Amino acid sequence: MRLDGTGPVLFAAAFVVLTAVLAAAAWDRSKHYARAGLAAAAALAVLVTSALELNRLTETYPTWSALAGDSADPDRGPDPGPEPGRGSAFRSHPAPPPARSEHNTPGQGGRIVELTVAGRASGMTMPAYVYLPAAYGAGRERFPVIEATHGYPGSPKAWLRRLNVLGYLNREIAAGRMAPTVVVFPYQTPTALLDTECTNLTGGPQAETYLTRDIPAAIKTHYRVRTDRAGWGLIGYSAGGFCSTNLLLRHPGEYAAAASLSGYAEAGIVIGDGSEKTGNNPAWRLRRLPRPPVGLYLAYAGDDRHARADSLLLARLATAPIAVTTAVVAHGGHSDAVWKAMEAPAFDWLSSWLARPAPS
Amino acid sequence: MALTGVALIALTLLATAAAIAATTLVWGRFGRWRPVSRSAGVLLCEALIVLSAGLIANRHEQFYPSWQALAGTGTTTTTAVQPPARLDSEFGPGTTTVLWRPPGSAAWRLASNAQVTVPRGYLGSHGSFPALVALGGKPAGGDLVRVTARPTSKTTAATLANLPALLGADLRVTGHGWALVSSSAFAPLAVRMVEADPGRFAALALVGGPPRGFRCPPGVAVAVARTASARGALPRGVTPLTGTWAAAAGWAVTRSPLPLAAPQVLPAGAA
Repeated sequence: MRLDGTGPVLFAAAFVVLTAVLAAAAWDRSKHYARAGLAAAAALAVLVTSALELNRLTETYPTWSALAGDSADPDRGPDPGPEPGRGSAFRSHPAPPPARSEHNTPGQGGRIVELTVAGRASGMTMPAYVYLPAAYGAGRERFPVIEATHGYPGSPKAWLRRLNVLGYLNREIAAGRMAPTVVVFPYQTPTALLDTECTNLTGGPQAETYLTRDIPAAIKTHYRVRTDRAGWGLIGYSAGGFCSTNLLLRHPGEYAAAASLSGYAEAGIVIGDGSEKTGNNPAWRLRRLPRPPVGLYLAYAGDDRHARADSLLLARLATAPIAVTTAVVAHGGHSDAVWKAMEAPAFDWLSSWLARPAPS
Repeated sequence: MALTGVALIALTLLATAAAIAATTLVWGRFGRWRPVSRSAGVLLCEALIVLSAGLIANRHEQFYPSWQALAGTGTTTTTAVQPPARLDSEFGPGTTTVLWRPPGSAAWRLASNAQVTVPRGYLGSHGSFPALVALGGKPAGGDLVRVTARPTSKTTAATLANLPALLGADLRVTGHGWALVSSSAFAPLAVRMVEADPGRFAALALVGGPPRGFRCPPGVAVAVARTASARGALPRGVTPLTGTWAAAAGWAVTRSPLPLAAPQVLPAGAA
């Protein structure tokens, strides 16, 4: 049974009922310590049910082994070992037949494959999910790439399971509103509840290095993708929105454009070197440093006060040569419904900023 | 009553306390229905405790700031169909190239009238196209809208400054991701055009050159097409190409975005 499905939540909810009924029935016949046990069991059942439902909503621990602290993802099945003849540090897991993978529908559009990226530069080793468009299998072209960051708490599985990104990408590409594009869904922390905001934490995970050097190196090694800046973009929601804005401003030589969905202008964490107030603060960067010629898409819900204020601040500060596009949904707060509404427009916009699939 | 308001949280906490008190009071009553009344009481208390915690967390984090937010976004995406541009009607199945003489074009100081060529697919499309501007030559523009112009010694980046905006008024073109291809004779002009309009051009391809002291403008891919026998190192970051106009334009087109169908869009935010 999947940890992040409705199964475990319903199972735990059954225990909530069971413990309540048990307490009601056995109370009069129980001694003090037994009553305490009944009450504790009932409380525990409620806590576990709530925790499972929260996990289902955020995809913080997408799998049982992620909960157990294993950073590798067991969803991909047995490890086939290093790909023969590659001689690289990366392990690739060729796409399973469509029917075997929960995300893929046979015969329709692109597919999700998995890749474990052993980061040489960052020291982080994590799985990543990779969307390969339908055209990937047929052609010989090198495709543009979008790196998609997730929220906190969360995991790349939220893009796949909560935000139905496969469906949106297939639809936009099939309609010709988006060029066939490879989309990468990496983890941005090795520890589920450690919020890196995609930065290099002093004495902690080097998430920025992992996302901007190790992930691109692995994707360029394993897939037919563009290797130039013009072919690389970023997208993220919530904390991932901050990530995409911040990484774009910090690495304009690696990325041409970024889309921030309900993102923020500040990291909101302590990085350890004070850079949350300076170099890792997009508002500070836009005020103090030369602005790079990049495209920036800032989307927010009108009733999401924090993300709205921060997006408007960024839009005001990001003057030429930065080209800003803003997009608003009327309401919906800071929720999956909002990000689903933003997905197609944001991916369409990003694709119009990225260099096309090119002959290899 | 607001979803994130103190009133609703207070009310829920009050209801929780009342449910706990009531469950305690009836704990010994209802005879043989006791297991049912007790279970129902316990479950009600638990549900209210979880609800209170959820409301407090939601007030703190503002996930759903209002009742309305629970109902979704209240917004649908629309397809941004581009209305026909001024010159669209001048093109037809047999006419893909026309002379381009927008008002004010005399100030460009060109040797002859500029021409615009639309790609196959332009007329059937409701989307926008990146543009390829060619100075001093007429390379194939691939699937981009192509502008060809023959500058003179009096043509400068300043006299051409309004060209992109005028093109935007006359044809369905994007505002970014353009390509500029130029003969070496107009390379200094081409470089100044790119530098004067940052963010507009994604690629600059020079046929011969580059000019002395050339440095790649930030965010722009640069290539120089030369004959196979050409010698001399190219500046840092410049892609060497073998050939002339076709090689330069072909390379520039692959650096531009694909012309796409009219995109899905959301309303823009307050300026």
